[in-house]
Amino acid sequence: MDRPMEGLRPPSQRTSRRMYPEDQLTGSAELQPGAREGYAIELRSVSKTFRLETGEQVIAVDGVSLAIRPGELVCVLGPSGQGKSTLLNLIAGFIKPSEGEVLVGGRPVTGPGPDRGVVFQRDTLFSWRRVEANIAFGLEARGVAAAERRKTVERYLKLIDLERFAKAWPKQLSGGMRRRVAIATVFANKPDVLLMDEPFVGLDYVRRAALHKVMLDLWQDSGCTIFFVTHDIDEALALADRVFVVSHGRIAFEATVDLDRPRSTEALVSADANDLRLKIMQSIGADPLTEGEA
Amino acid sequence: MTGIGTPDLAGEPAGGRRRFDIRGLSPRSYVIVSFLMILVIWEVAARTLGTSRATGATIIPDITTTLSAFIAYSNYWVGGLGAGDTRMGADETWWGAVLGLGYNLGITLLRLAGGLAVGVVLGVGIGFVISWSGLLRSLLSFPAHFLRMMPLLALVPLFAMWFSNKNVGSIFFVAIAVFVLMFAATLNAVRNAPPYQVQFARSLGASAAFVYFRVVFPSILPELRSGILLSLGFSWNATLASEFLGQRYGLGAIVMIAQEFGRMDLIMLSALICIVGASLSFALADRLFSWLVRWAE
Amino acid sequence: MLEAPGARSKSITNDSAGMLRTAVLGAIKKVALGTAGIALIALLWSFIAAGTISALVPGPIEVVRSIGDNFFDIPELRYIYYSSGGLLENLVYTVQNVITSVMLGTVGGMVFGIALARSRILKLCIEPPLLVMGTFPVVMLLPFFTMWFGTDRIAQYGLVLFYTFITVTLVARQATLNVAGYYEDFASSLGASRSFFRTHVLLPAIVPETIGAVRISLAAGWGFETVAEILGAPLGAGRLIQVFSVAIMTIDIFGVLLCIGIIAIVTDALVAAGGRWIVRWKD
Repeated sequence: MDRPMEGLRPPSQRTSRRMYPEDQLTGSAELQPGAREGYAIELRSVSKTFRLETGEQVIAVDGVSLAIRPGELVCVLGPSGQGKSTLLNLIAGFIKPSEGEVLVGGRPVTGPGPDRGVVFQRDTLFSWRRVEANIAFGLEARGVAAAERRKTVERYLKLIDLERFAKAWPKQLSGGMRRRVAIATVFANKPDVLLMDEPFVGLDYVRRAALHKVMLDLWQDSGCTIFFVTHDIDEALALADRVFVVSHGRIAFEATVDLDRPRSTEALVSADANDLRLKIMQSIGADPLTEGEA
Repeated sequence: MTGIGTPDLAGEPAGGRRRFDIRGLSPRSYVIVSFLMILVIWEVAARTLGTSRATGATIIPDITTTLSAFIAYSNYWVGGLGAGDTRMGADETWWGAVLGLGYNLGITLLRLAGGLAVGVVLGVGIGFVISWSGLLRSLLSFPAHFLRMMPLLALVPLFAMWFSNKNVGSIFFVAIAVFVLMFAATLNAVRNAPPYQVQFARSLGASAAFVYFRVVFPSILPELRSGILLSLGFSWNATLASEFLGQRYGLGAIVMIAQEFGRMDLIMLSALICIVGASLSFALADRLFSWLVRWAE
Repeated sequence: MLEAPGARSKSITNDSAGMLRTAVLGAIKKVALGTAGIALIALLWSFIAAGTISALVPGPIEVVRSIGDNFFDIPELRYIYYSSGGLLENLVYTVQNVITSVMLGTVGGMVFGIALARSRILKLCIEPPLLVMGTFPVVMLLPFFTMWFGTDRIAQYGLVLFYTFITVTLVARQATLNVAGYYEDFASSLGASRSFFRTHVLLPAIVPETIGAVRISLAAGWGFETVAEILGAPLGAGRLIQVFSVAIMTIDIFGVLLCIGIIAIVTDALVAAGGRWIVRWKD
């Protein structure tokens, strides 16, 4: 197991396929106290229980431990309502765990912050700001000087190919364009970790592929760690270095996706890919027509 | 004054169904036709019911009488600028009437706009600042709702007592009424603000204050539209009511004095001017507000 | 399945005692908050009142006491005005006026609003003037009503009736337009007749928005009714206020206002509750 402090080289360039040893998943990873290196994201026996208005208790996350290295692109799959988004919200700092620890960059998470950018499923662009002001939001909020802001904004506008729309209102853009602006807004803030909560849901295949490319380009450019929640297996296979399946609040399956980047359509239907796909589907319990584990 | 009645002549059925043929006439001609019908009904009513059988006085003046009452506005002009003060013996003149109407209408509009502006700014401003504290917001929601329910128009005699007949009294009255409305509306809007934009902003590194003033505030603006239009309608009523109850100048004062002299024609004309003024003010307010939130979907 | 040690076997725990406790706690919290808010305002009020004389801003305690004193009879006024009645009698007059005119205005408004939405001829002929009247400041009608009806009862509630009618008409019309397109097609594809559609689909669908309009009209109506009574009525809360203000009995004016405020809140809550019950099918 290597300690990727180089960080910037996408892990898929390493050639050996690996299953992570047990100890990384049961929370006993030995990390020197106070050390900043090691994992970009780490969860140690994290549980989260919600109390509903009706008084019912729901255990959304049940004793999960995982570790993600800097620069990795990890996809989290699973049926709806079984803990994926809760995991993301825990890492983002929007909610606190009932039990266990959530660490980012070796430090415990206490609340939201610019080191963990989030792209939501719904449209969160600030409609009263033009596109360029949206991209500049994080920079403005953190007090970056105007000249530098403008340079950064121009750079990202070019990267997402929306230079012509710099002064447009969000309401004038299509759904796919808004997604691009949201992604650029978060990347422009240079977060160490990027959390994406089913950001491309509802878009058709072609638009989604285009957005994947934008996202992967920005990822290569920045070297950040990505934690990507989705319910689409194909999307996970197209994007991820590693895949987790979360079911009933626990990690049901975990594997490395050892396909070369950039991932061609052929690679995505190769024998290896299909094999992985089958394992994933089985762990989700995607065989409703036959007797299966739900 | 409903705020719901902002002119919207495009009320097509949602499914876009056209059950009846429009007979080839454009909507604009129908507007003209409908107003012509109103004029016809008016004239007929004036001719048939317009004279009280009991007293012989005119209770519904016909169209020509109403329009020719315009010249009586010169009796409400203070004198100067080429037209004399009729109380000093000068004649009623058309120019005097223009000045008289302009002056009094101007005073009414000034009170209205002043009260509205102060009320909106203070109501939204204070409401927003108070809403920062979730505790204060929950504490004050019910009292704010309660104050909204109070028949504020009934406070007019009180204000007349407190301020006698000064302009400031009218403006203060309108401002208080509008303040209560907008305060409650702002509290409500902040309570209903969706949390995901706040979360997004926090995750981009914005401080709590930055988020509150630069994200939450713009996001609640569209929701304040109905409150603002209701406030406008209420301001008209409040200003006129305060003028009914003892102001010396203003459109409402004219109407009260005219009532004492039994001049229905002048009252009718003033009401017409009111109709025009009110609809124009609503159209203007709507236009302005739409510009303010032109980014909203 | 890779499971962390000590994982629980159930995802959802059902705790009915806990659910009840949460519901009750929630209700208590709401009531406590409301009371605390009122207490805060009352405190603020006493503070302001302490800074001025009673004739200007009376304190809450004096005001409440005056309500009690005036409730059945107002001795101070007996020698000034013939048979002024107590607070109760005048409030009843006002409440009767407002409630009846709001009810009449609502019924008339719904009928007219629905008709407007569904008859193109009516719509094109009546709608422009109606929309303009929606912005008209209703108090301007007072001189007319006084000239036409003197101090008859209709001169007071006419304003409320007019305002309610216009407001409910406009809202019912808009709500009907929103419903008419697809619901109607769907209903007729299931074999519903026109009248069945009217009573069983259209009316329930427009009730929620109409209730909102009724509440707005009711809230404004108290003000309009009071102003109309101030300007000339034999009886009523507004008349009391007028009489008190002439006699500079500020404490009693506040008393009347507080009473109307409470009545307004209660009636609004009742209408809102009634509306929620009618549309209990809505999510």
